[in-house]
Amino acid sequence: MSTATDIIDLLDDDPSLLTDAARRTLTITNRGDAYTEEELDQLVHAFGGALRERLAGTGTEVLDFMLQTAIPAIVARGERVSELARSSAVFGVLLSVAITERLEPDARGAAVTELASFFGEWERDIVEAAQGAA
Amino acid sequence: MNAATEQSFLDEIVAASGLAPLLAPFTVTRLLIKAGVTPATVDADGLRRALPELEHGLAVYLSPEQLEEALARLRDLAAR
Repeated sequence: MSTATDIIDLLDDDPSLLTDAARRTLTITNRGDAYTEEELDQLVHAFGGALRERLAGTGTEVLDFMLQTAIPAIVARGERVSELARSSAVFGVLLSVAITERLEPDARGAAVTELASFFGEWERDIVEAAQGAA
Repeated sequence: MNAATEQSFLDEIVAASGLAPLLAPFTVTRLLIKAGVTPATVDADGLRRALPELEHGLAVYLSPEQLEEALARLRDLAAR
């Protein structure tokens, strides 16, 4: 099985990996009230779709849709681009650790590379989208 | 229909979408435009035409159960 498939299976088996990382992100960044539970659930659901499509190599449709809808909405509510970038970086580290520590040791290196590549591009894309919407 | 009524119908679509208030206006407007429907003048016929696009886009944010509930509400609106 490939590393990407391993990660997708993990996310399918335990969707709380994403939600927990998102909640911990808000705690670490002292922004516990930045999003309602409903907002967080829907944003996490969409993010999971974007990550899965990237890992599966099926395109960027979900990611592009998030960049066109969620990011402008968040910016319109007053979120600063720098805060968005900060939260995204924290979330990326937390989720990557949560995922890799659940993988077999010999799969972790490839998973870190895969996730680092994804989060680097994610960070770039949301910052560009937020700057465009600001 | 006057402008106030048309805006009200868009508001009803936004509310029926099941999306959080943060996401709903941007997302619904985007999906209507993608379906070739003008948000400001959308009516029941326009909503009917936009349903496939709405279903596809709402699935990005909603769970399958939430999506089914939202689609039922939207179909009710479109049947007016």
